[in-house]
Amino acid sequence: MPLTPINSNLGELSMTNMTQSAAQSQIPLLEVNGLKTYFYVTEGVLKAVDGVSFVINQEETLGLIGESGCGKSVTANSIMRIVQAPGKLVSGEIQLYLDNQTINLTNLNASGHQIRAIRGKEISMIFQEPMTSLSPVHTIGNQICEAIYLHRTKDKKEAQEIALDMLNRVGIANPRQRIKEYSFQLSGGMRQRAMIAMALSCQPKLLIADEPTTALDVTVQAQILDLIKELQQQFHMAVLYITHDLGVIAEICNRVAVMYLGRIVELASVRDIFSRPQHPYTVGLLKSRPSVSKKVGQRLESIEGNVPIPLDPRPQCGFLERCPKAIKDRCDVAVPELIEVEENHWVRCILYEKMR
Amino acid sequence: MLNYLYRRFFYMILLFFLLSIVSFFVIQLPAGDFINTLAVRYVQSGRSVTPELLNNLRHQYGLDRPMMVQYFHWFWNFLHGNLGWSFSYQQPVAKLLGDRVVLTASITLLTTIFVYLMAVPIGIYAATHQYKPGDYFFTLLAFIGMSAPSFLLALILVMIFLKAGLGVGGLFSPEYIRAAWSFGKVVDLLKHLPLPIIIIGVSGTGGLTRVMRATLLDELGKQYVITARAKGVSEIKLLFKYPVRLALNPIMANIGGLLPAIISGGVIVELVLSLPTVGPMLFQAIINEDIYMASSLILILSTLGLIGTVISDIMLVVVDPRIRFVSKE
Amino acid sequence: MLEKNKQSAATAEEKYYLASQWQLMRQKFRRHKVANLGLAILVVLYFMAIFADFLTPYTAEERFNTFSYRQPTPIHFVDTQGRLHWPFVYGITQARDPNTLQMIYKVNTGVHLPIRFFVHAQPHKLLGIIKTDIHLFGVDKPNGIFLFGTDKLGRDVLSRILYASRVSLSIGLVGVAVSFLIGVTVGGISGYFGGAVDMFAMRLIEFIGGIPTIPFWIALGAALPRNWSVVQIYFAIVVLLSLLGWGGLARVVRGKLLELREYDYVLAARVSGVGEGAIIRIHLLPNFASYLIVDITLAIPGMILGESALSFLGLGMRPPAVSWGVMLQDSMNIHSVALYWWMVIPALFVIITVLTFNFLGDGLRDAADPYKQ
Repeated sequence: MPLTPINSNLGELSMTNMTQSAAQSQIPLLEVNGLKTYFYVTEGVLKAVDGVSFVINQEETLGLIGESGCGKSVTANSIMRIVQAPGKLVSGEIQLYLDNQTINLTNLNASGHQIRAIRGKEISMIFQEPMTSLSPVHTIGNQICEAIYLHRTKDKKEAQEIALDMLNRVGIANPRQRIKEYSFQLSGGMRQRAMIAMALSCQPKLLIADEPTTALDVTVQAQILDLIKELQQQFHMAVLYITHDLGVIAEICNRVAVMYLGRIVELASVRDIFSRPQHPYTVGLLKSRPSVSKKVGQRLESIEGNVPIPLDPRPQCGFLERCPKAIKDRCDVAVPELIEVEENHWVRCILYEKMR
Repeated sequence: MLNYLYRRFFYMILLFFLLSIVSFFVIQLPAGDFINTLAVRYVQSGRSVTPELLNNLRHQYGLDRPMMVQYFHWFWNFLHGNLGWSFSYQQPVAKLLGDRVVLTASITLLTTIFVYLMAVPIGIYAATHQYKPGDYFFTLLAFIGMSAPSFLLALILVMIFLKAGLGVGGLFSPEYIRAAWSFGKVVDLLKHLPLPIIIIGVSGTGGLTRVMRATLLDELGKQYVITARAKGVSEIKLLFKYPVRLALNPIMANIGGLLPAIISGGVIVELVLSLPTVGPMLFQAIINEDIYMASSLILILSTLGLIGTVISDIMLVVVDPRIRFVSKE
Repeated sequence: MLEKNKQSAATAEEKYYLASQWQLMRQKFRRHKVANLGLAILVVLYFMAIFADFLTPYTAEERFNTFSYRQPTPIHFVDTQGRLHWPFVYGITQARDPNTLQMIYKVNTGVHLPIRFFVHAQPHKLLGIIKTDIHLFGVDKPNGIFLFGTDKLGRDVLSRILYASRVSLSIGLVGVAVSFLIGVTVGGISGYFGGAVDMFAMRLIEFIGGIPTIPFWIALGAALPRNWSVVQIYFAIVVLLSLLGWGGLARVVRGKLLELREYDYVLAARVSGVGEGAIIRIHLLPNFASYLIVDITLAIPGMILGESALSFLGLGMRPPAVSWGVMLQDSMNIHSVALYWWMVIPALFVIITVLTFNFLGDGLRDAADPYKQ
């Protein structure tokens, strides 16, 4: 179902976030439409992403939340076109709106020079595990400059200066020394900062952050989040932030997409998600947070059951098996559509069908 | 890092001593000694043999001394370049060796280079084209290479070369065999080397190809490859800069395992092809119970293998910065 | 929640989750076609070795003095006039070439020898227990059927190959068993206790690994007294071959133990009060049992090749024992290979055996890898 860009509502926006949010334009930067990425394995077809649509506007932060296995990383990989066999981007459109042109990323050859010109330059990605994401036998400087040589300048000195500047911006002390070091010589937090420096060295319009703080301590996590927010302001970047942590979403996102079993089940602003969650899954997620205000002795809430594997799934609501509100003969006959229940608040649930 | 190298070097010296002990005592194992064999020969040729004669001979050759003393004498001499006396040839071993050590070392070195030059590209190709026909083809070749006994390959290839009319056998054409070293002789040698190198190297190539393929496949799935791709690096560049580079680490560092295997395989092939190298001479020495000669030769071969271990260690430090830095502490 | 859907939950999923480690391995192994083929071939080879007495028309020692170096007699189904027959072979006339003084064998299509099945020939003991004198096939005396030709002494090469396979195939297994015992013990102690013990053991393994095997095998082989019985020599060779070969297995065992010692589930077990012995047995061992199986399978070819090489050089098994290496000794020179090509057939058996073990090991390795698709 195609989404149309939403009109801005600046007054409300400026006070909405618990985080700051600079004047965001509601100008679309990336539009994903009906994305389907399947994995053809010996056991069958794994429908990792099964019809995902959303828009990321310039300079905004869109959170993508869901449990492990719901397809968030595959979505990000599909945007970057780095999905490897046996995975295949089966259908859908990914429109990237640049200053002077619009490019449909799905049409590009996955190893061709066009997409390569976009990777690292217009769209950058950072990953969860900084230790394994960096090559252990090349210096930090080498790896940062690699992107710079590809997209900005071939001049060694200039590239070096840019790299040093980036290391400074991400808060790494003594950059001249660090730039010659290897990844194993840095602490976890510093490695992630180096990764961020590498990703932002060419000032991309969109940063995709695939759970970058999941593997870090809480204090470091807070620092990195602050860093990302700060750099986002400096570079006027949009961010697609993938996580399974609601706290992080609350902290830095403007809008949130909740994913389950390869589909987006709820899409709204951060405020609306937290104050008026509609989809049973979202409700369950929010309820399952441990809370300081709960009484001693109260049980922690959880969603019954396990996340299923989307292997040859039946055409029905993905959350069926675990949903406390499931209705026989309604939820199991077809996949519900994404419906706008209030302004800019979309839900994929049969319960809201009558609102159409 | 230097500290590390010093320690390894010192350790190598220790190993060398150990090797000498093992070499000497392994040769001592055959029950009889040379004198008995000699006695049998004397009797067969009609000469008279008395116990005194035998004992005199034993004393002359130092065979009546206790084992440890014999060992020390032999090893001490070895360190001074005196490789012992050959009973069967009645000449100093060092003189008999002549060019053999150099030739053996050359064959070993060139075969090792051959193996790497073949195995690495084929391994990379197989890994990047996994499960495609090219992969299956090379995998099959690698397996056959690993499975065929080297002496059989030697025989078959010799037969083929003979039928094709190419001169084979030996490392030199007749006119160069006794000649002094010259540029022409070197060229002649190079012309004869491919055959033994290929035969000896086939098995090693097969094995190394499989290892390269497996190691590279491992690396290809790792996260840093994805990061590089996400930066916009082209597939080929990224293949060689990252996973291949990392896969080469254990491969290079494993020369220590490859070299002894090449020396080992070389001995048999050299025997079949009757090459003027250390292997066939060692075989003869063992058969004839020429103990000092056998001990010296086996020590030489083992030391060549030991050099492989040294090179391994150096390579490991050179290619992997992690070792360099960790060992600094 | 809908009950109906709960009960009919994806059974494929359940099966996948509940399958044991070994079941998963078996499933994955079945997909590896080449490995399965290898396994089948090996089963056939070992079967032939065990039932050699029955399967072969002659024993390893039966000589036909008139048939020295006779070329193989192929089986025919159609005679010279194009008529179908029960499988048969032709007779052979021989004459001495006046120039070379060598025996020349010519196929004599006049003599028609049908192959008889389940014939009576040399008595033997099937599986060492059942006394019988029936062999699978043969032809009427005094003619002979030599599907792989004969050697210098007129012995049937096919029969000898099958009897030889007993030695060659079993030495691989026995040798690896010994290596395994030594390797697992050393590796286990080394990996489990760590520290100085570990350092020493690793250095030792490194040292042994750096020794070129063949020169030492030659030296040790020459040390075997000439007057030892076949059995003694057999076991001596087994020891010899495994002496230098256990290092690899020890390293694997030690490596895995070190790795697994650090894993969280071991810590969890320890914290729950499980004893050390039980930890090794229940948690650690099953984990690398699959790797061990793979390494063992891949070590067998080395043993077989080693025995062949040694026997070929005259330093391994000796007559009257027969192994493939011993049979190849006769064909060591180029002349033989050119004139009597069938003498090289034992080498083909060596290659096939080694090849199939390698394929099998490869298939097992792929099956054992839990992360491989």
